[in-house]
Amino acid sequence: MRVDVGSLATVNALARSGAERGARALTSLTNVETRVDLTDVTFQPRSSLVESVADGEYVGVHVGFEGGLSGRTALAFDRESASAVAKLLVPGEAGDDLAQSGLMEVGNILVSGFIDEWANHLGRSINLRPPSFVEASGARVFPPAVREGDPDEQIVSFHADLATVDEAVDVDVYVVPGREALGTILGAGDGENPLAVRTLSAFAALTQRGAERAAETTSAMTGIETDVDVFRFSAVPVEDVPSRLGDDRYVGTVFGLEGTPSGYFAVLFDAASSDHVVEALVPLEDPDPELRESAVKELGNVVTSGFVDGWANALGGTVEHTPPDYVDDFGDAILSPLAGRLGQSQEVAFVLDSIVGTPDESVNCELIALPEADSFQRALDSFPIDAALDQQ
Amino acid sequence: MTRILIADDSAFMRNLLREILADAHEVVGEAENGVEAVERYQEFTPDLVMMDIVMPIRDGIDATDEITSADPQANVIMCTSVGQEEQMKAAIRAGADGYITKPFQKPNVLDAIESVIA
Repeated sequence: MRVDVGSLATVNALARSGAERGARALTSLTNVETRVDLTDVTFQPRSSLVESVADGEYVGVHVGFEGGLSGRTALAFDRESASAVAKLLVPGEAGDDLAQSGLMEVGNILVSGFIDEWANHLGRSINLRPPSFVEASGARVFPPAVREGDPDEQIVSFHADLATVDEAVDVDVYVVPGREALGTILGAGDGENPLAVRTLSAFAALTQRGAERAAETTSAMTGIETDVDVFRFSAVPVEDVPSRLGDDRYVGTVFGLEGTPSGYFAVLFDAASSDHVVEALVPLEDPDPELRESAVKELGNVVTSGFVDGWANALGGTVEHTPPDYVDDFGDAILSPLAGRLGQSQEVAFVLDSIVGTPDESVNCELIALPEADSFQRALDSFPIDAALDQQ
Repeated sequence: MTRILIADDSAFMRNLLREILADAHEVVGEAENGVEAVERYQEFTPDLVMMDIVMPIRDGIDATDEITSADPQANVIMCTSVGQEEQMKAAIRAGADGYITKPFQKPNVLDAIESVIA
């Protein structure tokens, strides 16, 4: 059974629908309008998922599920949000126990939104376990079964960010199905599809190695030692692509990709990083703007080639890239035209998103690949899983 | 006034249901899991049980099955966050008379009770 990228789109739509049910439920419980800020379905190494949780103190609710599908979920409220929800649910001096019970019930209801969508889509019964309550720092808000284990193992997570319109409450919902469960979800209607899981995991792993080559290239050209901090492969609604970078300013290069896969690739340094990188590339007192631009373009060129060569070699073809377009703008403004072009032929974007940086965060570079759906399908159809896994 | 047993592992939800029911009905007992729900049913013989599905020790569908097997006249409304068609069918097979999905509003709860008791 092949990997159907359409099934990833369906999975994303289910996650979106589940998140919207969750938002309606939260609105009903708190009487404050709640919106879905983000949903994504992401393949990534366990270490990236763990690192994606910002430092800070969280109040979490864990709900396991089993039966037709099995896996784990975690809700993470920052402390202020948890306190705000508790006050909305249990006004007055009702006591901590009732507030905690209220938060667990919110967790239960939000998770049910996701699980019910899958259960109804698959025609299976999925049993939720009673929720448990945790107070934890950073990634410890995840259940041990999610955060512990092989850090390089590719796992999939469904993530939604829900927030009240007054921004007093922000909650992240993570659903992490087991590997078998994912095969079931991807094979919906046709039974299990373990091949899809293997193929996507192998493709993600190969692309991660492309990011590692990009880090090596950046280190070699600038003399600044960089590494891959985060790697993610996500299916997201096309309209959500620009918001992945938000309104921070980025400097870098954007390329068109031609071949299998075709699409777009961006190498984007945050504004402060770009100054460090240019200083390293052009060791002059005050290089003129054209020289700065040229240096950034050249770095982007080399990084992009290193990144896409892994795909081309694995698929036995070529992936060529256009000359670089230099960009210096807000992140969402850079990604909007790319999303707009993709959106003419697809509703869900496949985002291969890596962060290359230095341990002290003086350099932070986003590598974002946006393959076109049809060519991505062709790439997966002919992807040599075993050869890719052998290279690991 | 309908005599009602609330079975839910969440103290918050039990509290909320008590508030919703306070004016029109009598809450005769509460249970935190399916085992307690069966025991309290035998103890209080309520007119109606508001039963959560996901509970520790024993879930609400199992408890409903035992209650309705022992007392075919028992009235049970599943009152749960689970909105899966298969689980709704399982609840009906176990003898549930109605099904409302959390989060609920007071009118939905009262309407559901009225439709079962009427």
